[in-house]
Amino acid sequence: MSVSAPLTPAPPAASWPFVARGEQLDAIASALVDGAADIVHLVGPSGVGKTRLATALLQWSERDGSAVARVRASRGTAAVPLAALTTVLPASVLASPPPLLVPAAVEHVRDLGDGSRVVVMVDDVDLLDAASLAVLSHLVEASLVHLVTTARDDAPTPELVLAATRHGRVLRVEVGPLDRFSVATLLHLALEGPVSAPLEHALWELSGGSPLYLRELVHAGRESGAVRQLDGVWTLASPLTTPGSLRDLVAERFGDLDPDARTALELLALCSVVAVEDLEATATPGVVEALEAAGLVEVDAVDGGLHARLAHPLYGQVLRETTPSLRARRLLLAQVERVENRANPQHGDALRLARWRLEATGTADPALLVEAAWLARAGHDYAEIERLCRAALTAGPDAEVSALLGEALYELGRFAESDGAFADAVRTASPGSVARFALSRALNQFFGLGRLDDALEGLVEAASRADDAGAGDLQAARALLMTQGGRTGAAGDLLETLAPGAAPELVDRTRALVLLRTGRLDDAAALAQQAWDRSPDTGQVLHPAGSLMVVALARLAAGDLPGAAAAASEGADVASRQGVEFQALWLRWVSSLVDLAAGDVVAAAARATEVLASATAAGFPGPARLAAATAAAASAQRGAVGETGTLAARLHEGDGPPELYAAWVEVALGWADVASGDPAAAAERWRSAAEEHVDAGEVLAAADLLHEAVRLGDREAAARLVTLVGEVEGPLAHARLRHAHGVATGDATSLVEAAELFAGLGLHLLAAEAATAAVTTGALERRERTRVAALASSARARCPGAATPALATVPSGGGLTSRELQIARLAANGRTSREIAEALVLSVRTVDNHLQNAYTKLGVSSRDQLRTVLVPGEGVAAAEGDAS
Amino acid sequence: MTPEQVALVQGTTERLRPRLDEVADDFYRRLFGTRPEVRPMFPDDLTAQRRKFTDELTAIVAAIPDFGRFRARAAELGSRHVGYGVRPSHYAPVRESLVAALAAADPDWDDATQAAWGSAYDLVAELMQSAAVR
Repeated sequence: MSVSAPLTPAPPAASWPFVARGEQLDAIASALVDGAADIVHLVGPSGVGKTRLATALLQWSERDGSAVARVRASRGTAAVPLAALTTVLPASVLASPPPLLVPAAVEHVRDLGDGSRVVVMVDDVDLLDAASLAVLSHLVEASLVHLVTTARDDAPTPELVLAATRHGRVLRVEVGPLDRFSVATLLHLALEGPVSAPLEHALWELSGGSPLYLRELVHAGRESGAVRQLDGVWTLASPLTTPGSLRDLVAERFGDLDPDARTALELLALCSVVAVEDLEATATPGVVEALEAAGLVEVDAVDGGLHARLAHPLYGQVLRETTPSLRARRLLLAQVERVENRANPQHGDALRLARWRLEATGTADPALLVEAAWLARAGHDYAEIERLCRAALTAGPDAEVSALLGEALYELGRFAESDGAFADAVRTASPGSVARFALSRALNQFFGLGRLDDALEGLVEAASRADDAGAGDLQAARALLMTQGGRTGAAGDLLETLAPGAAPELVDRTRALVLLRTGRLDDAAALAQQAWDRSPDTGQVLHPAGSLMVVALARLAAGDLPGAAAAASEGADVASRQGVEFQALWLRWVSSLVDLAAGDVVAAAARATEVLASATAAGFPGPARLAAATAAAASAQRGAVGETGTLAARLHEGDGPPELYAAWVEVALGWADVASGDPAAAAERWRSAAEEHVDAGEVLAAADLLHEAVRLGDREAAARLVTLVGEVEGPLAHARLRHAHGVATGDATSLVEAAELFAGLGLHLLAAEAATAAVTTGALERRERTRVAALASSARARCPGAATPALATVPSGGGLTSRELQIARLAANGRTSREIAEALVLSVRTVDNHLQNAYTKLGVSSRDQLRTVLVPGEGVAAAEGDAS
Repeated sequence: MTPEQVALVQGTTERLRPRLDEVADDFYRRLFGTRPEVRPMFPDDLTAQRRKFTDELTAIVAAIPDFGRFRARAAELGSRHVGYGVRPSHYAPVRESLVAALAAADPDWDDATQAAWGSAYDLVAELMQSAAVR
């Protein structure tokens, strides 16, 4: 039943002893047996013996009764999706259509393991293609395999390993060079006899403890006669002449090979994996055997026969650099011919052939190139898709190919070029396919280039050329973009007149978003959840995890923080597992909103900053913009003035689509106003943005904006929020309403009620703010005042680091002029008089005057005291004196 | 190992030949002191064990110059030790106890001798471990 490659024991001449890793090996094996790790990740410099250690681990597992398999990723396998997995999965599984591939792989490996985990070694895991990584990551997830991965220490760590690391399921092992004792032991065992001190010393110095280097040095020394055995002792007969580096040493070794062997090695370097029969057709029979005996080539038995590859990646690098290009071309074309004429075609042949032809001649049959590009797409290899598509398009226009190119360029973050490619696709498309391309183009224009109007216009234009189903899709897509761009009212109208035949996931997502933005939160969550439950794995146009984002946002708006957090993290996990980083980032951003709502300003700032960094690195301006907004709001709410300013500046720079979730950006800019000491400007900003959102049918966003102003005690905003009563459903809306009523009328009882409602929902910062406001009205009975002050304190204690104005015990305007208060707050936040003067365009003298007045009125004499009074700490309790 | 190291190691066993029982007792005392958990791997009465130890030490040191014989001897030792429940993590403490016991007994002990014994032990340990996995 086993299809895994038998571990071909290398012949003695090729095999050097394996020393000084026994204890490490034992520790790693124990970790696997104990179930302490899913993945053992071996990292170290080239030639240090990572593969050897991994192989030893595999052999150990095999003796322990586990099924094992060995996957070797290389530059060549990276170009053919799934090609690397031919040693684990049979061709019948690998040829499954994408939705069935994972289930088929799971079933096969389950059988193979027969109740225990299969141990799969993945050599050079950083070179593994994305499709293979995805399959392996499902197998790890299903607890069907243990992975033993190796990577050079300068290689990037693949997401597969990073994700497992985040869950604490990776044992990372640094494989370092051998120490001097171990080098001596290795030499004695490899040379099978004592080694003279000068030789031992020279080899230790030159090799730096790298086993591969050591082996090449000994090989070169024996060839030249510098290393020889005299009277049973290995000695240095003449100084070792070394070309300086391991690379040069290897190059020299290849230079001395006979032409036949050299040809075989060159073909392997160019093609990575070559059938032994092909190699023997190139050179002479027996050459592979000789190369294997010399330790230069390894041979695996796979499904289709014997496959050869170079024994070390370094060999390929050196050979490619030293093979003249005309010669490479001739070798590649000859191999193309052999593969084309092969009786039994193998997985990925099309891509291999196209790649080789393209490399050899700069062009290839367009049909083959397109087939190869689709294969590359399955492997998410966007740079390769671009190369293949551009080559195919030189033969003439092709809408599908242009669209494929556009998609790849979008993924590469080259949005303007992507727009050009999609424009070509739309122009040359048939009525049956124009909608698909126009939709892709519009998404790129909005999310990539931030041009909502162009995107909507393009959709209208394309609808006139599309067939009926396509026109329906395009109309739904317009509505979708409108809801994302703050035009929910118009989106709702468009949905009313929706032509039948539009893709259901598009329609449901759009409807759910309209429901969300118009405050019908239960229906929104239910519809989105239903869309997710129905098709978690098959979104044609939109990634299904986006449905979970709508669920999370609807629950958040309803005040259900645990529900929101669960939906966001499930969505992020799914998207991240499937390698859809764009979607995962959005969901992680939603998690930061949940943190912020709970009042955990430190976690919110940290998470949003992390999303910002990832989105910026990946070139996704949309999530980057919103993450910057949330990070700014969270920083402002912890009183981090400098950080808030930096983040707000990014929002003003205007990277990313300006209309996308614009309310969140306004919230952030208002908090930046607050941080710079101007809460009045913030309230004004939020009130006016709220009116714009009401006009656009964005009730939820309007309520969000107004409530931020209510938190600052703005009566006008409070009165306006009260008029929106009934527009937004849910417990949070109810609590906000009580809060607004209390602020608008100065009614302490409403504020207390709001505080209790917020606290019950776990919105601790809002609870603390409302309770503090209730206490500072001075209208509560003594006993009630003590109780509410205690509520404020305990809620406050659950938001470490929070420092919003509403937590301050001095009521705004309490004796201080607004200028005095503004300057006093900046001073309390650590700004010097000079900085304040510069920020407010005043003289330092004026600032000091205002500050002195504030000191007098507040009865304090230092900035530290100012801080305890103005910057909310344990403020309420302090003001109450006897409350605690 | 260098030929000089082989000579140093053989010199030690030559000098200590009459007192090897003493070295063996000291070795076990040190080993059980630092790693009490290995004590149950040995019989309660160490008299026979002491004899095995001294014989093996003498034989294997004598075999070093003849690699084939040396390898065969160490491999046999390795296969036997798997049965005793020896793990790779046991090799380091044994090395330390053995070298310390020899150093305490040998009047001519110096740094070079110490390094030579370390090398000899590593060779034997690696050969034993590779035999253990066959």
